[in-house]
Order: sequence, then C-alpha cells, then structure tokens
Amino acid sequence: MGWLGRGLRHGIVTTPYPRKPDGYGEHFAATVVVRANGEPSTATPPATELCPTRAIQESKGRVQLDQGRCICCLRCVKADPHVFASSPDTESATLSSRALISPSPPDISEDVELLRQSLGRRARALRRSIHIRHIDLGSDGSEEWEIAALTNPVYDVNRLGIFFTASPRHADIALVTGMGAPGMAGPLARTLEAMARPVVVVAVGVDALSGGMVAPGHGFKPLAEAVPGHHSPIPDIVVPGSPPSPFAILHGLLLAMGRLSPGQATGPDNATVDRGASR
Amino acid sequence: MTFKPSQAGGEQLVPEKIATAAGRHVLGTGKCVQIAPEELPEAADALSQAGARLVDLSGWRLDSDRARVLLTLERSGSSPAGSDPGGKLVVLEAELRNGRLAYPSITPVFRVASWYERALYDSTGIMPEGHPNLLPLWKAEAGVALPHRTSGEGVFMIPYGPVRSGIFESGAYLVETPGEEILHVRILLHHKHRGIERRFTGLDLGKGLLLAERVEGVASVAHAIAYAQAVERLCGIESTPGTDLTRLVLAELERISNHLDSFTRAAEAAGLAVAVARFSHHKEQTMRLMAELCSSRFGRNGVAIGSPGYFHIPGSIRRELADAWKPTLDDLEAFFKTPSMVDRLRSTGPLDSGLALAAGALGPVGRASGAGDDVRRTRPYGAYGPSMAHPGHGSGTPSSGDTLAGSRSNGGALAGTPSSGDAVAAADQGDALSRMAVRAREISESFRLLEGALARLTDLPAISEAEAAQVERPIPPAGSIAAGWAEAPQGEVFYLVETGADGHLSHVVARSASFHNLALFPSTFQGDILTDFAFIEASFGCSIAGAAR
Repeated sequence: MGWLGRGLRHGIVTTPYPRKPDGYGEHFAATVVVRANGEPSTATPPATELCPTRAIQESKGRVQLDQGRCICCLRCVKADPHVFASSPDTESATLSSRALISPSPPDISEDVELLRQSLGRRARALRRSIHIRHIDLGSDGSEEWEIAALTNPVYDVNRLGIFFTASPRHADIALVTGMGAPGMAGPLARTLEAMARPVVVVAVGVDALSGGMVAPGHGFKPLAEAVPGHHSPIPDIVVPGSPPSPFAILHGLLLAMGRLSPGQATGPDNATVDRGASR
Repeated sequence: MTFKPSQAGGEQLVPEKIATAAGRHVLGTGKCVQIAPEELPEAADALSQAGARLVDLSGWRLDSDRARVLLTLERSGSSPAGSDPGGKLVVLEAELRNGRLAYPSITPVFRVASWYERALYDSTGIMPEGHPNLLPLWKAEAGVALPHRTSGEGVFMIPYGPVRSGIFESGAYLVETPGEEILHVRILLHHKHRGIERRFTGLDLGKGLLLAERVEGVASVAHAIAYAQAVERLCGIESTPGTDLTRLVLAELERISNHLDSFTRAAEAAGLAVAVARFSHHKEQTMRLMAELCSSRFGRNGVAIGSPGYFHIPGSIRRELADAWKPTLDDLEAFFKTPSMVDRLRSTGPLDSGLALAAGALGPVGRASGAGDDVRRTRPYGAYGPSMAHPGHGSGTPSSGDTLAGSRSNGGALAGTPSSGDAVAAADQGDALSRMAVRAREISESFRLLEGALARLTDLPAISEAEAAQVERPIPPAGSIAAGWAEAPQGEVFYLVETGADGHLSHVVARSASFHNLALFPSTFQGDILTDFAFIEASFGCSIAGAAR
C-alpha cells in the first residue's frame, strides 16, 4: 500500500487547540503550584532544601515557588502535598519571569498587561503568520524534540501560520533553549543580528530561564545581554517546564503572535492534583 | 605485588613485568588493578591484543599536584552463566603524583580513545603525552582557524552549524568538499559543552539522579538507570522485581521513541512527507504512553534510587500499546519497501566492520557493523536477561532463560504482528540501511518486551506508597566508587559514581554512547556526497547534548 493511503488511515489526528481546549496534559505534571492557602511547609527536610534548583523560597511564613526554576521533579509535591500541587495546565507560558511565581504577586496582572501592550505594538506585523528560528544554547536535547513535535500531525502548527525557517534572515521569532553554554555566545549574537526587526524572543524551558538543574542561576540571559545592541526586555515570552510540552510551547508562540492573552484560559490557581503525582 | 592470573581463562591481564597492585575496587566491575602511569599504554595494548574494547577513559584531579586516571575496558568472550555480569570489566587505575599531571597517551593503542583524552585534557589539564592530535574538544578555541585536511582543485570548507537549518541541537560540522563529494568531516562540540559532569560534585545522591536525567535528555531513562544502579551498588540496595520491571518498561518506550525519531529524520531527508507524518505521529503516541505511566513524556522521575519513581499503570495501557504496535511495525515495513528511501540508504555511509570492532562502536551503529555489544544481553541488569524469567518474578516463563536472546513469538492478543525488519533488510552491512534495519528490529523487540513486562507488572501487587517513597539509604563509605550501565537507544551508557566523605557525590563520569559513536561519524564518509549527510546523520542517531556533555 502506498504512503498516500497510509496517510489517510487514522483520519484527522490534529488537535482542535487553540480553537477549543484539547484536554491532553492531564497525564503529566506541566508545572508545580503552591496551593491557595499558602501555609508554610512542614516537611522534613524543609521543601526549600528538598528543591534541587532553589525554586522554593519561604519568607515570613509564606511559601513561594518560581516556575522559572522548577524542573517538575515533584519532590516537594510528594513531601508536602497540602502545600504544593502539580498542575496539568499546559497553558503555562507568560510574558514575564515574575509572572511565573506561584502564588502570583499581587500586582502582576497589570505588569503583564503592560508587557502585552508593548509586545503587541512591537509585534503587530507578526499576527497572521510567523517564521521561527530556533537556537539551542546548551539544552539537554529534550526541548528540541518537543519543538520538533510541533510540526507533527497532532500539533501541526503550519495550520496556524507558524513556520520554522532555516535562515535567521527570514525569522520573526527567536526560540531559544538551553542553559547558556559559553560556546554559544558568539553564534547567538550573530543569529540575533541577522534577524530583521522587530525580533520577539521566546525562551523555552527552565534551562533557558534559569539554568535549571544544569547551571543554576545561569540561563541564557548572560549570553543575550552580551549581544551588542540587544533590545529589552529579553525574553519576551517565557515557557516553563523541563522540558515544556509541545502545547506549552505552542501557547508561548500564540502569546507572541498576540492571538491569545496571558491568563485568558485557566489560571494556575485552579490547578488540580495530577494523577501521576498522587500515586 | 604481581597480578594473579584470573580463574576464568587462566590468561594474564597485563604483562608480567608490569608491576601492579590491586586497585581500589570499582563496585560492579570484575578486576581493578593499579599500575604506574607510564605503563598504561603497554597494559592497554596487552588487553587490546586479547580483544578487549574501550568502555571509558576518564580522570580527575585529587588536589593541585595529584590526579587519577581510570581506564575501563571490557574483555571479550562470554562470561559464564550465573557469574557477575560486570565480571569482564577491567579497570586500570593510574595515579599521577608530584605535580606531573601527564601519562603516555593510549590513543596509539585504542584509536577511539582520542576524544576521551582530548576531553580529559580540556576538563582537567591531565596531559596525554604523545597524543597524535590534541586539539581542544570542549574548549572554545576549537573553532579557530582549523586548517583544511584535504587539498585539491576547488576544495573548500562548509562550516555547517552550530545554528543549523531545522530544529537541531547545536553541533557544528566542518565539511571539506570540491562541490559534491565529501572529502572530510570534522565535528566541533565545544559550542554546546555544558560542563555537566562537574556539576554532579557536591550534590546528594538523590539530586544527582535528576542531573543524570539531563545529561542526554532524549535518553533520560537510560542515564537514570545507569546512575541509579551505580548508587544502589554503593549503598548495597537490592532492587525489587517491581522496580526492575518499571525500569524496563520506561527504557523500552524510550528506545521506541528514539528509533522512531531516527526514522522520522531519515524520511524527512528523503522528502517523504507522509512517512514523516506517520513516524512522528507514532513517536508522539509513544511519548504519550510514557507520560501516562510516569507523568513525564521523557520518563523523568520514573526511576528512583532503590524503588520505582512516579509510576502507575492505567488499566488501558496494554490496549493502547497494542493499538500502537501494529501500525508502527506496518509503517516500518513500508519504509523498507519504498525504493526512493532504500536507494538513499543502501551503501551510504558505511562503517567498516574492522574499525567498528576495534573501536568498540556501540548500540545500533555498532551492531550494524558486527560490533556493538547490547549490554542488556552481555551484562544483564535489572529485569533483562535471566532474571526476566526468574520464577519468583511473577508469571514468567520459567525455562526460557534470556528473554532477549530468543525470538519467542508473542501469542495472545498480539499474535500476527508483522515482524518488521527481520525480512526487509540485511542488518549487518554497516551502511545507513543496516543501521536503520537494526533499529526496526529493536523497535519490534521492544514492543514484545513491553507487553511481557506490563503483563507481569499487572500481576504484581501494586507498588505501595511505602515502596515508592525514598528508601532508607545507608551512607556509603567515603571515597567508594561504583560503575553502572544501561543500554540506551544510542548504545551503552556508562557511569562511574564516587562519593566523598559527607556521602555526597565527589565525582561522576557520565559517558554516553553518543560521545563514543560520534567520534566514528567522520570515518563513514567514503565517497558519499553532500546530500547523503542527512541520511548518515539520521542513521547514527547521536545526541549532541550527550556527546558534548
């Protein structure tokens, strides 16, 4: 049987997202959140020590978790299930690293709204169709798989006008992954320089945001700040996860295009306990 | 002290005149001997003559004027049944003293040691004297003004990478060509070097596992298993049947995903759009199965030390596996029947079998060239090998022995599944086609293993919270060291884990198969042209993260 016939065998497998919610994601922990009551952790050793990436901070009896550092190892969820919960929410991308802190800082929605307007002005021309240049700055390889998955028939981002391009000269969006390996400083600068303005930078995964497990406190920012004439803020969109799922990355791209607004869908506080983690 | 001949074959490990002492025992290995640094090449040569292959060469500084070099080799021949699986591993340990951080290079003996020694020099400053080509491998100077290796009319160099067309990890290739034929390829890894092995130092044993999962993200499970095994040896933890079987399930799902990734890339290179869609869809389904089992699409958190990690079996999982099984193998069969695909792979990028054996090429790359020990068979661990059929491990087939070795047909609901790969292509020609055929076979075998393991797991009592909780870990004695290994989709992953006085990690070596195999990649370009590059790369299936560490 020819390949054409094979291609028709399973019918349409493409997700209805973003037109409708997909529902996939309940099977795995996309992010970890602090439960609404926010009471202090009582686990021994304390969750702040248990956390391998110092994503959890405790001050004045209040617990905060930074999803920009969290690698979803779920050790805190296991040790202290009444304080921490894993959330299957795959719409986890947002516009500011501060917005990744759970529970949300009080003034964060205005901040994000300002960022959204500023990005919207800058990236107005991109709304219908975007071309993406991916740059690996020292990932573990898993982020590349999840980005590549966006082109498979399930996510099929071409239907949304999203394309990957070989040349940075044709690209609107720089999609960066990895902990910021020093050897990539030069290639990053040359790639960003070759891109036409405006450039929107999307940072994918906690390795890029904060160095994750591999280089805590590093991330790609030191490399980006070394780029001559870099615009601020960098990055424009942050996608947490280690690695983020394809839906989370897609969510980030839709935010970049202005097709979705941050927090338009379910917020992190509506999280339910993930099935996998509860066992 | 002279070395005593081993009981196994009565043969001598190293020539008699080399003074040896019993080395510090690396748990999990057979023989550990300490020799003087200057005698490393001769000892290595003696073992090489006897057919040993290089597993790892690493080292670290003890203080400002002392360092240690560990050369791990595996002797050839099969170990007797029931013996220690790691019994054929030999560790030669040399201590460098008095500020002389140098030893004579063993690259003249084991050509494949070249990258190991370059990496060692880059990361520790330990000098392999007489190394034929001691260019930086991981340091940033690597890319600066490298001379052409070839000459001729119109020969020029294409620097390909590190930011490559498509969604790739950052690795760079320097391709020398007069226009079409590839004359020479060099690989630059320094862009992506993360220094991840250094990061292990000082972590506690549990956090080390999280880092091991990120050395080579697409083989997270294999790295976690190899690391966990080494730590379990250090702490004297015996794994349970439930733990072993969950690890097998995750590792085989990972293998299927990785191999399907190779097929996707090969089909992409040939422009077979429907095949790309099909294989990438199968891969997505496999990753979703993984996420259902352990809450991560990459099998992260599914392995824990001494116990299964986050792992549960939904009732539907065996049906979902069965749903994925037949269409996947069916498409693989079609792959090997598509002339426009096969023509691009046949005789493309041949890896000479003599070279593969001498270099100890790993995984599917090695197996396609008549080398490539599958450590699931040769050094069985966990649920692989004889213990799969252990009477106490559920409803196994008591007498079948090594479940991997036999081609037991799978009865029941899945009978009639096409055995793809077996009939469609010869898998020992050393070319890209053979490498893909080996992968197709392994996918088919992984499905069989998965079905068997899931059947047994559902028979076992559910994994209790207590068992899944972190087991009590005795703190290993300071300075103890152990080896661990696993067969990743790319080939054997090898770990050395050493603990310090506080019971935390002092040194970890995380040697991926990608690192070992990628060094052989340039040797496969024999008359191939630029458009063959993508096929050869897909058939190698190496991860840059694992190679550049």
